[in-house]
Amino acid sequence: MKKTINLILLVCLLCAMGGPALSHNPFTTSPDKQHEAPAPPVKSRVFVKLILWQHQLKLKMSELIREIQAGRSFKALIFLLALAFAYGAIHSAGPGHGKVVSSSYILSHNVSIPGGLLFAFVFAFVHGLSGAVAVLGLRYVLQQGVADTLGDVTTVTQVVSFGLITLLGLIIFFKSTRDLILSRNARPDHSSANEPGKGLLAWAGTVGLVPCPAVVMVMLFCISMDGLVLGLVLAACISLGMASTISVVAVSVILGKTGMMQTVLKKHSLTAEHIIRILSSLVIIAFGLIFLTTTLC
Amino acid sequence: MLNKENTCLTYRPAIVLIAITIVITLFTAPVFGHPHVFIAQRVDVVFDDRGLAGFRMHWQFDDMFSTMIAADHDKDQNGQLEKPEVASIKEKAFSYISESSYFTFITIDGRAFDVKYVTDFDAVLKDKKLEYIFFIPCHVTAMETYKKIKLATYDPTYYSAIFFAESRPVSLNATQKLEIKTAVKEDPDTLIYYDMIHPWTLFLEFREKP
Repeated sequence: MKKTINLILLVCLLCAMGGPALSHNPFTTSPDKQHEAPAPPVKSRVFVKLILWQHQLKLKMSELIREIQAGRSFKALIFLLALAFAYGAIHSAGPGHGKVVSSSYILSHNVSIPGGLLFAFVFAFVHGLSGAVAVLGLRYVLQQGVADTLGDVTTVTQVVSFGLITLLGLIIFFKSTRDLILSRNARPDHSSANEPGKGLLAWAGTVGLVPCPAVVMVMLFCISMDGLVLGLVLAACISLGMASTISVVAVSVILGKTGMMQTVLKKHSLTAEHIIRILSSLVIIAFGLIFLTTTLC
Repeated sequence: MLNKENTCLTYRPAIVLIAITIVITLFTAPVFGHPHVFIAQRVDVVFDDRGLAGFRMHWQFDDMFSTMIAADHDKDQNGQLEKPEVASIKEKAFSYISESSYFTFITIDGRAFDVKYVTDFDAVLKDKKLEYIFFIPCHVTAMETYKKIKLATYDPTYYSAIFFAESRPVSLNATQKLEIKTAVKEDPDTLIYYDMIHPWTLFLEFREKP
């Protein structure tokens, strides 16, 4: 029973979270660079209602931004910050946002709960910051059209991000396979993964490299209202919201993995851990290769 | 070895997290990743002496997309789009969707009519909201029996969501010679986005008055 529960958890986490939101804006991107909408894990008419709610949320945010820039209403600002947080939390629940890679990384390493939370926050803020930097860089440094150029920027960052993900997956795979073959009785080497300052943060940064489209849209809107600082604050709130959702995912994976390891007989746990590491690395490699190929082709 | 009590304690949060994870991932994932652009649509149905001439589409975009396009194409930032700016928008923020039939899917008496081109494209900024206006030629001669036309608008990639506007979603430029019926409702025979959504559709029927 316990094994079944864990299996459900792991399968849900790995399969149901979908791939990255690769799609580009069809209005501003040539058809050869466009991709199909990510497939939903389940079909439900409830989605129609939820789409309307998301639309209303976005409308409310733009209304409040206008109100704040016009009247400097403190109450509206607090409400707007809360909405931005909610928007980030909901937005990051969607396809992409590195959940598959993050989960696979956590499964393949002995990440603690604080480590998982740190991972979520670093990833979310790099993802949000990347969106803010893309807007500021294109608008003020390169003085390029954001809508025109953002697709190219996203493609470049995706190639770098997915390339690095594939490479890191290969490294984990070879290390795990070596551990399984050469030292069956020794615990896998988690030394680098357990140190948040090293592998974990590099991984979070790699996955979060692609600019966040939600931050880009909000930043551009605020800049058009002469609200650069407000845009940056909202980008931070959106990132915080994303971090909260990804934290739930990260902690779920860590607890699920811990629970599963505890249900396996101790003498088999080492082998099981090696196998989980190898399988997770294969998921990472497959993910990286599939999306790298999709981006390049 | 774990005793029963400890095992329960270990598993209680895991079970709760299973539920949370399933809810978050299965019930919100596809929706909130897409769409990113929202469009409120109005359709003018244009008739001529022979019958249907086509559809003039009005697409009003949400604030954030409007801002993005205005920032890039309203070069003098005067809040108005002059001809060169409209041409720039047409080239860089509209023409790409021609490969998706301009997101407009028409059937005439059940047979698909492929929207290959549009005319009279214009883009305007009204209170900082971007609106695209364009005409889709679609000639259908009126007969004694009803001609049945369906017009659905949707983005197959689902990056954009297109709704009919709440007020005055459809207007008619009709002649006295025709008998016309219209309805805007979900099309039960069409499913989009992995068979989950029935697109909002204009149902149009017209014939010569007896």
